[in-house]
Amino acid sequence: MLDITGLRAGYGAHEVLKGLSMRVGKGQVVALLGGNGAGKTTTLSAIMGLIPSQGGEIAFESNSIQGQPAHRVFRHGLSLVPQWRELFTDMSVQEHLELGAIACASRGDLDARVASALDYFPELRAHLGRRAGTLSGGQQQMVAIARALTARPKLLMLDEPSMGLAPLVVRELGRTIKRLNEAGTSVLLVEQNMHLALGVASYVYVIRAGKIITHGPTGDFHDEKELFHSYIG
Amino acid sequence: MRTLLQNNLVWLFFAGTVALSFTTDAYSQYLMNLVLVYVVIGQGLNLILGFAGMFAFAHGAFMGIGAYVSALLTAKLGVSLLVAMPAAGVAAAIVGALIGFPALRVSGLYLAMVTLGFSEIVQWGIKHWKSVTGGPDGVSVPAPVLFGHRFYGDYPTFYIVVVVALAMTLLAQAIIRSKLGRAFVAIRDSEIAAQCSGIKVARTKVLAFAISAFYAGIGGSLFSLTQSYITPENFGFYQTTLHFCIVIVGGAASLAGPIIGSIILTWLPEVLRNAQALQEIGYGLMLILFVIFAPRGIAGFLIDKGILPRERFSLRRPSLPGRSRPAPQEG
Repeated sequence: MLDITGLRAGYGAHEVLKGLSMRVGKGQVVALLGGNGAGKTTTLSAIMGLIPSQGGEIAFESNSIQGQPAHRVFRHGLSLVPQWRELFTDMSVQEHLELGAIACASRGDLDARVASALDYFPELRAHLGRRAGTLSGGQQQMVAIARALTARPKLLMLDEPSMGLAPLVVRELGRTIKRLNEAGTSVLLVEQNMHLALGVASYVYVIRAGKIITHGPTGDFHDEKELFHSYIG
Repeated sequence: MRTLLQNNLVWLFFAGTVALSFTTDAYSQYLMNLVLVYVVIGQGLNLILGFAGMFAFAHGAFMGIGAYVSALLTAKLGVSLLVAMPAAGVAAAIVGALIGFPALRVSGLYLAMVTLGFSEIVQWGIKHWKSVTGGPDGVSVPAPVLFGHRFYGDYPTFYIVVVVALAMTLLAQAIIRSKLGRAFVAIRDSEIAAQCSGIKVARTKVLAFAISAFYAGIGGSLFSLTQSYITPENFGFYQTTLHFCIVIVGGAASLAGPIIGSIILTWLPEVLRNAQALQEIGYGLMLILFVIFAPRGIAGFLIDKGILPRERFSLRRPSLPGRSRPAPQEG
């Protein structure tokens, strides 16, 4: 589904990704693990077209999405839930969900999309009129994911969704990712929380200093301590 | 009853101006016409500043382009106002779209500086392109003839101004409620989230500039009708500052804001008529006080108090452009 080969990307003259290669198969949950500054967010930003890539190839469903701006990448069926959620804090939950689907939905379709996104997060139904900025961290993460789901993505990319959340909420988040995957959505999960990542992913990539240093089925990474040390270096 | 009044404030305002027009003297009528002109320009500036969150500091210039295009078409070529006014809006919109391109590269104060520089160039151009604009001598604006009727004087002009101002306000309302309006707000609040939601950020920014400039162009055309005579001095830095005050004092990101701001900022100079020097100081002081203590303006205060209804996508906490983060910077 998503094939990345020899990707190089960064910020201006500073190259962060130095020939990264990985793939996400249809119906898979793939985790990308790595320490701070390893290049996890840069990988997602380059895939989504938020930053230009300086080399390599990114293909989605056999079509090159290399160098395309974010709105075009989005139309191929990729959605990104950015780090720290990037919520519109002045807007209500309802407004968020509507904004998430504006690029692809007619008015009637929009209501249906909002309703199906809320099926994953029924708790939000009680807060539709509330400002997103007043919600708890867990609820804000729900809004961010629900906003992405209103676009009905084929591949959902989550950038450290567990950041700042209580363990109980992280566990619930893991269950939601599994449900999404069972419903047919492929997921690329970028995480530092190994427990969450190994709990939901079927395949794992480990990134260090802009390169994939190891990868394999989740079952190959049963020793969390060893995995942690591999990406810390 | 209260809800009914709250939900129809726009209609109430325009009905009120029509009712008042039967009671005003000529000078008050002239001021009311000016209020409506600034409602049009204010709604346009509000779209780009309040909703799209971009510091465009060029509406005096866009207004000038509209005023001169309209005045020259009617005065020199004998074109009907029905053609000249839309042409004024379109001319300003084209220039606005061109100025919108720098907005793709800069934001906040830098964008304000770019647009301010453009504003000065336009004013200089109008002043020195004597063969067309008449230079510092200005242009005389003929009374328009529509449907066989000559609209000469403040009272007849009012009917043109009020119809256009109502139409432009309703258009602004429609834009805010449309997909485009939501895209404006998304860009204002988070460019990253907007991009991730499939919004074409570059196109939306340029469109915001074009639409906002279109409003200023139409406002300029209306302004020329109320003045009968226009000069480059009408469209300088003072004019742009006035537009900013109208939106900030009235309340950015609120349809009611520019209406409130236009009423106050048009009548304020009359209150200070005997203290000319205080007028400009008054504007500056007002802008500073509102930005610091009430950045959501009078409309924001009235919304908080439940006097005005909360509008969709209005700001609910102190906020002005500059919050949006353009690109991720993490490793």
